Amino acid sequence: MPLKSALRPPVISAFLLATVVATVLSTLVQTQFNLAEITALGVDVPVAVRLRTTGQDLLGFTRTIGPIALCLLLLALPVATWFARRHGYRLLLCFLAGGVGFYAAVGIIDAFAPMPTLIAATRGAAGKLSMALAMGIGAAVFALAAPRTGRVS
Amino acid sequence: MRVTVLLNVLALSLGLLGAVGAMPATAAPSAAYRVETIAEGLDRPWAIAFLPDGRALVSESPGRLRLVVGGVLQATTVAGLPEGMYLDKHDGPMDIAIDPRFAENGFVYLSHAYGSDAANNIRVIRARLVGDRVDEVRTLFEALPLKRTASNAGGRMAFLPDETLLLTIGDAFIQREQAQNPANHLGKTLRLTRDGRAPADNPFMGKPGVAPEIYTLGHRNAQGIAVVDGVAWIAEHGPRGGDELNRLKPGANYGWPLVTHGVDYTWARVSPYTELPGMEAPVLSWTPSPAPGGLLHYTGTLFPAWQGDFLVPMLAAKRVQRVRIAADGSVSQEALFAELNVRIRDLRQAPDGALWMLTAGKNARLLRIVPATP
Repeated sequence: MPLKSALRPPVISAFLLATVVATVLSTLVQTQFNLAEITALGVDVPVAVRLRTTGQDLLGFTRTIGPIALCLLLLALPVATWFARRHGYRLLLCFLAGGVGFYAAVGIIDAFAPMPTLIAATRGAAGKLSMALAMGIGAAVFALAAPRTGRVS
Repeated sequence: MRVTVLLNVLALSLGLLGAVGAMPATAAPSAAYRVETIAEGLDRPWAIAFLPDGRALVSESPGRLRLVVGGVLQATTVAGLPEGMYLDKHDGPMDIAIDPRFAENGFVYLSHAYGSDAANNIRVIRARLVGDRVDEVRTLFEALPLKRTASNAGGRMAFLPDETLLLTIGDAFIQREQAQNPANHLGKTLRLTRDGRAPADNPFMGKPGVAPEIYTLGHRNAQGIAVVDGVAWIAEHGPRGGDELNRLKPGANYGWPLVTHGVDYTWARVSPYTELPGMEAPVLSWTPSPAPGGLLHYTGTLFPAWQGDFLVPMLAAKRVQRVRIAADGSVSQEALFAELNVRIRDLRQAPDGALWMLTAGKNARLLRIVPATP
């Protein structure tokens, strides 16, 4: 996507919407996987506690995953849309870029962070895949919301 | 010996008080002190231990022991230790415990990481200290399972009055739920005989599916331990907040990660709960995390104002937290040595009542703290 096109307000709005969706969905994944570990240890987590914890994570964990989602999508979406302009499949390519980008981001972060795994939900394959799907959905939202600039669809 | 005089008065320390809410304003009046440098240039030191003959041992994370004789750090390391000890990524652990019958048998006990980056845990070895070398090195105990992260290791040791040895084992960070799994050693305090076995009167001895060495469970990463009137206390690292001072009761569950006052490093909730039935609450919880690197219960006479208090060396907070627990259970605190502005790994009481302090990291120092006026 040319820089001039990328900086149009509708594109920026779509990008911000994608970032918000990816951030919120991945936060929901983090919370539910974490609470699943708690319940697996035999401790009950009533719905009210689950909702409260989810809310706390939306206020807290988003401070970490939000910037990750923003940087990830900032790198992944231009690549996806560049390919899509030539080969089509914009929705699919954006989705894949978000998901694959998350795996790459986690790998880089964990390689440099002092702790073995920064994001608790990514300690297991299912959690990591779920968060990648959340990022992929966020990226797909961009594909749906941003105006098309290329001729191939 | 280079002497740096730091006169610290009560008012200074009072101004640094209190990381914890709902605490009384302050402890009893503090004491003026001066700090002397015994040695510099230590490589990631971890522990100090005083021998009955007046010497002291200092451990360094790469797997070395140094002797301090007459207040002078010996240039050569203690010979005879195994080569190629696995070095934990986070400096250590390598704690030292002195056999209660050292005068008879000369035994010293060392905890250190063993294995590899892909599979490691804590090992306890015992050796006989003869002069400036150790002989008869024997592996007493190896914690299981082997973990693939070099984090949250624990590794502190202390003898109980019955001559059994307590050993803290961390939760390995990414396996934090294992602190609640009674079948292994992760996230536990263990109690061992002086031969490395589980004593017959351990709280879970003979219980199917439970590791017999377990003394307490539900810990994250205890790197401080002290025994007071026969009761063990530990200081442990929480995640982001929720560092704890715990009084150990045999067989008790201290709750990690089901209950905690901290959140994850990402600000994600570790647990919705700060208390649950059947889980022991900490005597004290610190938020934000000062990162306790050790735990000392001071009984000396050089600082009468601190007698009976816990002195907790802090890594991240770069101070020593003096903690007084009154008979009614109320807790008061005072920050000490913050003016040194160094991460503090260990703090021990010398036989004369002085405090010996290890700073953390490479090019670390061994300091001696005495009253400002003799």
